[in-house]
Amino acid sequence: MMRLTNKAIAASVGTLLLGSVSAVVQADILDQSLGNFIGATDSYRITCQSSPDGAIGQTDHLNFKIIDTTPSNDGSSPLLLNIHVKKGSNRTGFVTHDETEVTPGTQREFEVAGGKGTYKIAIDTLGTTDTSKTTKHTFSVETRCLNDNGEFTKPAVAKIKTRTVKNGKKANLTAVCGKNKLTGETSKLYVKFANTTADPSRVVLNAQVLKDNSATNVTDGNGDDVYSDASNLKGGNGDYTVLVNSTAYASQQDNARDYTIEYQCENSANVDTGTADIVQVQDQ
Amino acid sequence: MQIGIVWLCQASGVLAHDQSGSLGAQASATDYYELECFDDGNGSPEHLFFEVRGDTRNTAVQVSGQVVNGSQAASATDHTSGDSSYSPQLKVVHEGDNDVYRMVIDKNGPGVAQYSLQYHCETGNGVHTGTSDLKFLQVQ
Repeated sequence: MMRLTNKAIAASVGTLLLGSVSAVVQADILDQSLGNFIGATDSYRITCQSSPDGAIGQTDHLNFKIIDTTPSNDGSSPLLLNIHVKKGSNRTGFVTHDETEVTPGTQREFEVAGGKGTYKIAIDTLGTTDTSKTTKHTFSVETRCLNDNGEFTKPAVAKIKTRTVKNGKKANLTAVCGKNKLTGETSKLYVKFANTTADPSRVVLNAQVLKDNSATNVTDGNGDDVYSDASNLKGGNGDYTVLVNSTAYASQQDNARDYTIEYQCENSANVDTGTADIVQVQDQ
Repeated sequence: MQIGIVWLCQASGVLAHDQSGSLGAQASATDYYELECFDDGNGSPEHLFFEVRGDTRNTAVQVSGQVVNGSQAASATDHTSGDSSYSPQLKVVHEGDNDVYRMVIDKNGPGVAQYSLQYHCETGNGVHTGTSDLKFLQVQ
């Protein structure tokens, strides 16, 4: 349901306080919400025209971005992975490194200074609140054996392994590092661990901007105060279509999204033509 | 019933319409297609059937597709890329006599994403009817 339309006055106030006499930037802002059902899509028509100010001229592109403003504490169940790297023995002692609670779509990088030999790598799902034993997590582990200068030793290239692990299970990998004739002995193992699990409980907002035969897409996830990247679809004057939808998949959870869109028609120098006129075409 | 029809089409290799593609590494990469439904003797078209599947394995990036017909739009997302399952199925009923549909394919993060589409036009009774070739408007 459409709730509010206003102007980004803050931006123009900031400009005025700085004493600027250049064109005031006034992006149009619209607060809206997307319904709970799977596939819900809101649709808008934003019309851009030439500025009445001849110096600004015609619209070159539509500047558009979106932010998911849904409160983040939505009870979602994270699919967490933990990685533990260990090198050594009871006789020589251990060097270890742990990275915990790695969420889907994120990654961690670290180094373990264990010298040459075999590094044991274990990945588990401890902390995951999804209790299904059939839920699968996917991940990738990139390892590099390096000398003190950060140069490859043996093997002389990065090794990337991808695996799947079920809830409550553990995956074990190894990385074996040796001596390189040119770069010398291994001093450390570099590890880049990525949780590549697709988390259906994580609903992400997508928005598409269409005009004539061109289209672009922007994405914003929930939980921060940062807008998506701005799209700048070059379509000149005329009607742009904007679609807003989400990746919602699980019907048993609350998929409703609150969002704010910010848009303005800009000329080729990125100056607001001040002509953006929005009409909601579909409200789901 | 809907699923049965779709599987029959896939098995025949004649009625189903498939399209594979690849979205580029940019998070904003978007492919854009157009098709038209028509009466090929099986009856007047009423709606477009559509589903999309992400085919890249071991990625959290999800592929989505939107279908636009006139002033209406619908969206579907394949929540796990790389498995055999498609997104939820869309059935977009034409607006008036407008049988031109546009399909947008996009994703929610950086990285190349392979995908497959299944689509075809159907009558009000779910019978496959005339479906034009895809017009490629934009490939990114």
